[in-house]
Amino acid sequence: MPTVQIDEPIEVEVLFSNPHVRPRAFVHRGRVIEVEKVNFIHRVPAGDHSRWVFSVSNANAAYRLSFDPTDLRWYLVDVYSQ
Amino acid sequence: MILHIDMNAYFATLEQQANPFLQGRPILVCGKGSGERTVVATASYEAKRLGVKTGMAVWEAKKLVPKAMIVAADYDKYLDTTRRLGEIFEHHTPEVEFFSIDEAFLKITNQNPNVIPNNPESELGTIREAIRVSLRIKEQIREELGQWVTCSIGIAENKLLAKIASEFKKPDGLTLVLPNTNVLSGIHFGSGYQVTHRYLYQQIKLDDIPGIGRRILRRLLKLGITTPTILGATPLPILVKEFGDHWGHLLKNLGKGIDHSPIVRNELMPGEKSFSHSYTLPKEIYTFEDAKKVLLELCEMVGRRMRKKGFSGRTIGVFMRFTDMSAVFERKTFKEYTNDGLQIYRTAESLLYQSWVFRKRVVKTGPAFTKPIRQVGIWVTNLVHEHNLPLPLFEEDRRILKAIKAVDQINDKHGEFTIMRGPILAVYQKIQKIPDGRNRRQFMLSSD
Repeated sequence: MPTVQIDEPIEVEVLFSNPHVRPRAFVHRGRVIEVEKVNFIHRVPAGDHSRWVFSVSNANAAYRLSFDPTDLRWYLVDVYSQ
Repeated sequence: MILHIDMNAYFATLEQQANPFLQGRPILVCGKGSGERTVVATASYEAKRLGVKTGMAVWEAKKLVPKAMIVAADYDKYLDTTRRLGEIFEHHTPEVEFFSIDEAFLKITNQNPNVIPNNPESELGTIREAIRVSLRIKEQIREELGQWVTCSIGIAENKLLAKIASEFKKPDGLTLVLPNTNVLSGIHFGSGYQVTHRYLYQQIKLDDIPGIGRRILRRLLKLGITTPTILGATPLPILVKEFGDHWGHLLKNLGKGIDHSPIVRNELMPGEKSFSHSYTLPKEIYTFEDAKKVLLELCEMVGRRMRKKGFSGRTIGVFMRFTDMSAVFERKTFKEYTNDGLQIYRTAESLLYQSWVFRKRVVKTGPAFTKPIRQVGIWVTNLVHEHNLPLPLFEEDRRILKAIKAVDQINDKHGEFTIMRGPILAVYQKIQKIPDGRNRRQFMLSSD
């Protein structure tokens, strides 16, 4: 499987354009990764609230970013590259 | 008119939508672990074209399509998407019945206030409205979920014909079934198919009709009934004589495309009849100790779901399937009701001890089964709502109830299995929450 589990906190540049939230780039281990496409957004139950999962991609890889609205933190969940 | 909306290769297209590197490639969506032991939950159309079918063992599918990518199922994604689909459907009509996680029936009525019952013009208006809604739903799905996600829609006068029609063209099909050709001339719409009920029945096989499974099919073939059209023309007494009163009438109706069942909105569905969970193991297990750990987690999951919905049960069943596909089922009914995972587990464990396949054959790792196990399952039936049960008599039982309630509250707040019984820790990472396909309302609950 070319998916690598990461589960690490990241810094994300996000565009809020009502009603959409679009991650545009994120920093992982000091490296800036541009987001070209937001392919899918879904919610994941996490106890009494939900986390948002953004499936995004660029020409090199697909990433899953998770946003927890209770503490406003972003995580890089996993990376898929060929 | 009734719409049957069937999402095309649902899990696979959602994975392809989320990850463009999977688009256009044969993929197999499987349970967690993705080992050869699991089965294909959904195959992408690229894999289906090469012969892969839902439910096929992964090793079998890989043999057919060696290049197929295995993708671990992400049930949270599918459940949340179904919730969003529900919002799209309910935008058009309140009469929505989810038949499973990826299929729904919608009832569409003519929005014109001047509609006259049984008037051909008004009926034509309803058909036009059903087509308009179908096309709009297809658009909305693409807009909100993505271009890769498609559905096939069948439009007909009842649920049976609508469901058959949605299978008529896949993927991204739209098939309208009308009673006769006279009505057809008044209808024009895009690239969809327009067929008469008669033509539709000439095109399908007997087992394409929902409700006709392998066993019924075999018996029908023995009677010389080989096509849906012949089934419809078979005199009722012959069917009643062979299948009994209930099935005889039902088969006659199926053969004639008659179905009077109404749309049952999800919130109006009758209460639960059973709770169950099963798990296909990534690797076969041999020892009773290993089987017990998996069983304990399944029992905890079932108990948790029962408590969430306020039910207790007193018939507990357990099954194990072996690598040679033989299986053993054991069940027992008790006087006391329970929804405590540990109590369900203890019962299941004792049932397994009594089972004919279990032999106290002591090997290095302890008692072992005579055959390797590939799947374990548990179910609880004979349910009663907790409101109808008295509080436990003994202090000890009341303390256990309190402890379970406290654990539930912690898991409600912080997520499932934040706190769990010690032995489950060993298997927790290996087992995934898998919604039970037999429980039609499971996904609605999960989106609460």
